[in-house]
Amino acid sequence: MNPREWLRVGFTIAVLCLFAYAGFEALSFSRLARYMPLYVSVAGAALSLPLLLAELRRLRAPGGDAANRAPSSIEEYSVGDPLTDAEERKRFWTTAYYLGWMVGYVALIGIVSLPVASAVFLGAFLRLEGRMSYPFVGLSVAALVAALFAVTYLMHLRWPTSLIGW
Amino acid sequence: MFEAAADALFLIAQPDRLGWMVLGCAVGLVVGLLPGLGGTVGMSILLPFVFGMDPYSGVALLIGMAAVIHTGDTFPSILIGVPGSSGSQATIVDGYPLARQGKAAMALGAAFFVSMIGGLFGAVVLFGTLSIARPLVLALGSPELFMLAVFGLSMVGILSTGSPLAGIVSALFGLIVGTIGGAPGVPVYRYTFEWLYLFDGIPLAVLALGLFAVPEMLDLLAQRTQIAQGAKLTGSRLDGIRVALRHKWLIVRSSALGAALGILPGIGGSVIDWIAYGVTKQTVRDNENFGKGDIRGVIGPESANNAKEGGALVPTLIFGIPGSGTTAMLLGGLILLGIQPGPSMVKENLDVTLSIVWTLALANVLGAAACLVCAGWVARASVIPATRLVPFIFVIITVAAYQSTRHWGDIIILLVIGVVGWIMKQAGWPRAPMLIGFVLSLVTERYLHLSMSRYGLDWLLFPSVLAILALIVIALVAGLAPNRLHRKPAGEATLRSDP
Amino acid sequence: MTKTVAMRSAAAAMTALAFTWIGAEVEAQENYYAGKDVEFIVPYAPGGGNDTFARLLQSQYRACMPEAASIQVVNIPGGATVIGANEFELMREPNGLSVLVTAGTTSYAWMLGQQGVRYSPRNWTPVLGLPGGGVVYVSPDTGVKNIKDLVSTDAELVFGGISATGLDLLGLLTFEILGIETKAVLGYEGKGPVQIAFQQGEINIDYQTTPAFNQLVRPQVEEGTAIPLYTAGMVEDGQLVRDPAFPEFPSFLEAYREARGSDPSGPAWEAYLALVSSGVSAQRQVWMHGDTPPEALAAMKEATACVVEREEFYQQGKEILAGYEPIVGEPLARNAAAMLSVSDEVLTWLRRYLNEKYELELSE
Repeated sequence: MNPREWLRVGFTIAVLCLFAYAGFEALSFSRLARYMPLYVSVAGAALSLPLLLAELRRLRAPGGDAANRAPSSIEEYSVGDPLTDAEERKRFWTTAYYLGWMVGYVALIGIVSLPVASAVFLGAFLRLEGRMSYPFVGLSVAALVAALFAVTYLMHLRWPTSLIGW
Repeated sequence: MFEAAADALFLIAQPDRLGWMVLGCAVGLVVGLLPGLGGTVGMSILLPFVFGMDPYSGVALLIGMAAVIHTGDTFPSILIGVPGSSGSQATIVDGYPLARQGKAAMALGAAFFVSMIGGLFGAVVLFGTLSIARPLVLALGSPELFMLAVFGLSMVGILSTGSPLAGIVSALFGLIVGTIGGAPGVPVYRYTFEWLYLFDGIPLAVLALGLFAVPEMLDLLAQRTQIAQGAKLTGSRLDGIRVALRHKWLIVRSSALGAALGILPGIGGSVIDWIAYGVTKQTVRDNENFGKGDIRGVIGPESANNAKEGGALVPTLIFGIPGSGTTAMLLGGLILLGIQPGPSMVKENLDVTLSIVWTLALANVLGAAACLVCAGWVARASVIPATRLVPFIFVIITVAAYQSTRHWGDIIILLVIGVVGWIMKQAGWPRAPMLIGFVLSLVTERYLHLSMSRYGLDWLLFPSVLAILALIVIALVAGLAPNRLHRKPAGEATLRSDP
Repeated sequence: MTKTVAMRSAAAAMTALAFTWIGAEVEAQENYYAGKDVEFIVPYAPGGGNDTFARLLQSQYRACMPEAASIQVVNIPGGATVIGANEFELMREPNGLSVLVTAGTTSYAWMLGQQGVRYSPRNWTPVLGLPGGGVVYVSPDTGVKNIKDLVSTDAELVFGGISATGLDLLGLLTFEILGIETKAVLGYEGKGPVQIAFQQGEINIDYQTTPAFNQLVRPQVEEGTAIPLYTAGMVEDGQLVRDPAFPEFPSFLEAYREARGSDPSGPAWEAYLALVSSGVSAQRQVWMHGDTPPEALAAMKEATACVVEREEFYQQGKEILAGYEPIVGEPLARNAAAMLSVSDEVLTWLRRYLNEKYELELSE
């Protein structure tokens, strides 16, 4: 079974649990604040259950990957052949790896402030992932940091607070 | 009235006032261009400067900015699949696939052209309805506004025809996420886990960026590709304009819809483009290709989101009641300029109102022209490899997300929603319905609550309520049934819209 | 040995350097705010009345504090002003560089012990206050023409508001004190939409603050589609007096006397007086932390004195000030003291009343 199938079933279960939790929690709100979250979560739980059953049934049904792909009329626009299970798995981990970059960047902002973190993140990413030459990396980083300062000044933007207090 | 309009044009056509308008346009385009920043940020940049200005110059500056936000915000929506502001979410659905097919320049050309037409349409509507809009606004009480919110929610049925059940669950998910924070009418704060950040709910910009931008960036990186999948661009801006001209009735329809919905206070601007998208998809032939890069899916919402600004000014000016964050700040700006919005705007202050109309029209033309000039050049961003483009975008959206409440929660929630959005994308869950549910959550609850506490259950039988209900049923049935019956071979719609 | 000497001379040099530097600093720093960034925290989203007021102040303080590097308005909306006020109290240093611009709602949330409140105006010092009253008016469709009709009418009175814990509480309390039954429809997005609902007939009795009344309701009064009944009044030395912006309308006290023939009393009346001092007599207030350094406080007060002297303040702020005179100094301090010294008994009564009548769950 490929990771997408896992994700689909897992996410449906998670959504079901979330509705259950939200509905349960809603019972503790005062009457006027309760009905909307309560009814929505009851409806959500009631509808995600058949969705989950349908997905489990599809999982057990024989058929290739292409047949199993979840229908989603508005977001499936990728062209090209469907990926094999192995490719899917690989892509899944690649994505997790890049998500790690993003989390790292955000953590770095919290520690060494936005301009420093942005410079480090951008420089490292462009060099390691983008395979840019050093002069271009330097140029890009300088341009980004300059733009950050300019935009912050002109638009009165705020930077996230960081441990070093910038 | 027309004589007064000519006088107002003369007032606006002073060089210094035109200069202010150009400055306003420039700010509006830049703010629109930056993903996640919208009209409220633009207003907060400009408001400190309006002190001591004469009213016409101040109006030129503020309206010049507000008019072109939804022109500039088309760039990120089409090019990188990231909503440029909350009013251009629906453009992503078809605009981004077009960019992926290498047709970014064509899509942008069409989008800017129809933005301009929509904006001009909005200005005309503002001019034409100022004196007659009062009864329309007064006809819509809480029950009617609730039904209109339900109409907005019914767009979910249209947007998720592939797997309607997943679409509905996704919308309910959005509704429940939308209930985080304060309840209308009572000081109860829900699902906050005693985290103060959540007391005001999740900001729309953070949710939209998390849901669409983060997953898109991750996938682009993981696929080791650039946005235009063939790495080559086809189609030009002029092609875009030509295609748009072929759909002139669609432009007029969507503009009218956008302006009309803009007039209604209480629904909020960020759902209008979705309604326009849904209605476009419903009312055109051969809509199988919607969501895969049908240019009509760009034309509809883009006409509407510029047209709605003209409409949204109607309640702001004549009732002093803002329909969106941007108009709320505009209202503050007008008060700072010494103009008290209200019924006097069509009497003593008519010249100011008319100069607003003119600024709106001129700024839309100017903004669209500026964007058209740059479009070909900016469209090349879609052939930059993801590993070199995405880090820049991620820095921008992180900074932009943080501006929502200037709290670390913005960034944390951005990542959390980003992961949820990515899972949804991978698992084939439609994300647009979630956004619609989220946007309409508070509105739905508020007007249901008000209707119930005012009328009990009696409101269910109001003729106006039944009329909107009928409209919803017709829209759903008409949209879902014929498509099933007359399924055309796939690809035909794209052929029709391709030059 | 050499090492110690070297270190000692290095230390001496550094001390000397430090002194010169501090000396230079002190010299440059005649004013506490010289070269510093000041922020005006507004616990509302941009665009509302409070935000507009803060932006007016921003421009005026900029003129009166030319030595400050910048003065900015920072909006921290949410939770009926609770989030911004919390942030001011918990996250901002008491160094005088952050000031909080509140409206009555902030004080009310504290008095009512609303969920999430982690601040207390008792820890703050007011530097500027602006009165802001309001008018209760009724639709002629109810048949009510004056205050006597109001207490004897059989028509269904429907009051519209945002929340029973905000400024609408003033209107609701006047009905409670008068002993009339009204149906409260709460949950509107703002008082603007409430006014639209009034024109639609969805509600038929309403309380609007002075600027909104002048702008939206006055034309209706002239048309005959709205009838003003009374103003909330102002508290002056413990007495409820007429609103200076509406010398022609009776205060609530006068209206009560006319309707009932006696003076109001009891916990509801006490609570009403406390709410008027904190939400009307100084509806908008500018606060600093109570433990702000004295030189910062002095500099801010000096700048405030300069602001209220400026003609531009009144010219540019005509609509926002709505004819009220800002209060500073001793009268402001007295008003704050009156508001903060409200007795626990009254507060308990108020919370219980809200819990019972409006299904709230405030801790009593």
